[in-house]
Amino acid sequence: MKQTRFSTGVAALQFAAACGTLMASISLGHAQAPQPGWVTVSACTPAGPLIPTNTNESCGSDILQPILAGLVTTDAKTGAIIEDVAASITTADNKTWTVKLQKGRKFHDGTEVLAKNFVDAWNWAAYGPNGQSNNDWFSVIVGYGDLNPKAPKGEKPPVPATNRMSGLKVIGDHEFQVELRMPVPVFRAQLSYKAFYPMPDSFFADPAAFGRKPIGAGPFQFVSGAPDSGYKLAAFPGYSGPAKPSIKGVDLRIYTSREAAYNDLVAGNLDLLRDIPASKLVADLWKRDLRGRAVIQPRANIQALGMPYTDANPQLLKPAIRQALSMAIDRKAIVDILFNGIGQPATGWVPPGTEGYQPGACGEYCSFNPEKAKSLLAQAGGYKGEIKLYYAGDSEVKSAMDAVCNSIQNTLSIACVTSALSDNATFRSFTRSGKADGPFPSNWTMDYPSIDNALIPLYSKDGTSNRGAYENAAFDALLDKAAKEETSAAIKTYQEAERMLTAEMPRVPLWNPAMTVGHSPKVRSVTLYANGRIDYSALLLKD
Amino acid sequence: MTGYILRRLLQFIPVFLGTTFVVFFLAWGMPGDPLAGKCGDRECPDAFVAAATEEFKLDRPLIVRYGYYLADLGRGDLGRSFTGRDVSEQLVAAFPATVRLALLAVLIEVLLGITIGVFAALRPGKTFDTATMMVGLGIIAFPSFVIANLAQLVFGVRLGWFPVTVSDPTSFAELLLPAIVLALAHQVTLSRLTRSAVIETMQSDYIRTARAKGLGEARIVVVHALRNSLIPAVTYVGKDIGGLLAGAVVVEGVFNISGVGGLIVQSIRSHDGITIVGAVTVVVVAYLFINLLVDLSYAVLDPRIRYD
Repeated sequence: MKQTRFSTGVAALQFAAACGTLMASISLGHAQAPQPGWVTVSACTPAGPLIPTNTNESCGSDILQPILAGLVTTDAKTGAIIEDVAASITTADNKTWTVKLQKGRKFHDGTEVLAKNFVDAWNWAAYGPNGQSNNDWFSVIVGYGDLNPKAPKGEKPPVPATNRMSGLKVIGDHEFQVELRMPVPVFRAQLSYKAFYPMPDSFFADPAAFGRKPIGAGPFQFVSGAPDSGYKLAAFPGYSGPAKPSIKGVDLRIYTSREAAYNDLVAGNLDLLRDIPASKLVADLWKRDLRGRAVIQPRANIQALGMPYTDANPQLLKPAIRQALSMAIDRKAIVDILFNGIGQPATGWVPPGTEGYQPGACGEYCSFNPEKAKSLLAQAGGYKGEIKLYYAGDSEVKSAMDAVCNSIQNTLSIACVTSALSDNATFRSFTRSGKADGPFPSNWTMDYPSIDNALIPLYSKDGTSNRGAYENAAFDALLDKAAKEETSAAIKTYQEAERMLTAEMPRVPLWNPAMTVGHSPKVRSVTLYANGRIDYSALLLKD
Repeated sequence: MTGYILRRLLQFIPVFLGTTFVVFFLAWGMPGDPLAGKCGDRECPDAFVAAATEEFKLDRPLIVRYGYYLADLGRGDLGRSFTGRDVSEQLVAAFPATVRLALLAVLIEVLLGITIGVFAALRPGKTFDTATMMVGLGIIAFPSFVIANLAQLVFGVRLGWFPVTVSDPTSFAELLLPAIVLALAHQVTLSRLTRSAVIETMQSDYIRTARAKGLGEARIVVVHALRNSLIPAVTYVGKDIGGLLAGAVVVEGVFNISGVGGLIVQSIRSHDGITIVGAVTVVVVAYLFINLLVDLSYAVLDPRIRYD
């Protein structure tokens, strides 16, 4: 019996010792000594390999952005398009563009960025069988059709006879020429999109290896990382471009929820968090938690209500009813109350901060005017039945869509209900199928900050993302006219085209969200690009 | 015994096939085009759709694709997900964190649950018994995300005793707080199960015999009573390990552990059927093995139970 007592005591001691060891290792595990000059930033798991021409979602783009450099980039402060790897980009007719490169710009593997790196990369991405999601960016280049032969109905597309576009010509190591199928006045701005970035020779040998460990010509080079564990990017010592960073590196940590990242930020384990969770924006909670270390900046994004362009709901085809709906939405109240004043009501179809942005393009039709809304509805013969507003159940738009519905219902006395579809894939399939009989949220993030990017893909007859299948001959004619003009005249024509959208309201502009960033005391100043990404080269730390 | 284990292992095959079949059809039968929304705000270009359709055989009937899937599985290939990564690679990345968290949670659960259960059983209805029951009821009444968030806020953000999130899932120290959170709710049931089993055992004849022989109370409780009371507890713990291996989605989310739960939820959201089938299948197999181990442990705990 004594012996038993004794052994119980020993066991208890052992247990206590084990607990002590655990506690000791806690304090060890807790001390993640941050490397001096590095910043830790929240990121999310990329949805695919890190290949710029196959990356459209924001998680992968966030990681690629500091690694890559293209011909041109945007100045984070002014939003202007400035040369990056290019020395000059010139054209006489908007169709034939001559690109001269800077000498001595290097990829992270030490090889120089040459004209062939651009031409090969573009040919590879445009080659149909490679199935790149940014394939259609090259459709303006002469010879794109040869790389993407049309599939006979119900069959697989045939194998292309060539893998080079005839419109691309290497003239020298540092010069190449691009011939476009039609004039594109804003081609220089388009080149800031990552689909047009150069690829090192090693990419073509093994694209899959590149997708795990991308090599670019940008200010930061890939050190290590994986989709689940996060990425470490160090400042590239061989960088000689216009965006030399002052920090030593970026430690991108993968977070599955922004709430978790926010808690780490408040506890001092994280230096930068973009897109503060909505629950923390309530009553400016985040500004108190972070003691004012908060930045709000407009971003090149517009949220709108897409409209069905089929007979699924003939009433919603009437322009007057769409105008009435638009004027019945109290955008300012929704932004002020629901988003705590972060963001601004949209007054047109082009987000602010975009070359060619004009305030008030939508005119009175995007301002809250219950009287006018009612009279427009009466003129159109009223609305019978209810309006169903569809949204993806796994997105964060529910409360905003409820607010839009309430606003419409209160102003026009039309029954409005929101209807959640299970997830984004279901939502996207449904809204483009033509079966949607009600409006649906439609978000557009600018690929490059120029007005045409907010108009052509969405509202032109062959627009790549024209989900409502909107068609307006006069609008298309203006786009054609702009294509033949020099850039500043073209932008005026695009603005005229934008104002034309008020007549039929193919989409009802709602608001332009802003980007919220919280940072640690270590950070002195944060600058964001128009697309809401952090400009790590302009990031300053306290010393 | 060997024959019994072999029979049980053979039974895994139909269960395994049935699971993959059902999950495969559920995962790919979800409404909506799996390629929709794969290109951000833009619509996907034809070349992308054609290449993805070809790679994932999206244009074939489901039953044909299931055949291909089984054939690949036979070669040990779990397939490649929409993310361009091999499913096996994703599982290898996700499972270790979940397994560690599950084992640590179960360890804490067993330590707490059995200890509380035994002490409560020794003086049923007295202060300790009533107090632990009241506290336990309180814990169960809170949903796990409340406890998880609260623990994170208080012990992580405010007091700084624990890391706020798990940045390195190989560190047991970092997993301790999430494991305690998981264990708290589970230990309540375990301690109640242990308590009632021990109370029942303590009234049986052989305990009276042991007392009559003059054995000490500690030896009677720990060696004689507890061992015979463990069968319901072991069954419950086995069920718990199985459940935790499928991923504690909520707790993993709060503490930012990239484990199995998050992987499955993420793949369901992105209609990544191949990953869903792979992950769920591995979870099911793990569950089957744990059940087998639980059944075998009965024979160890109670020599009257024999398998042949």
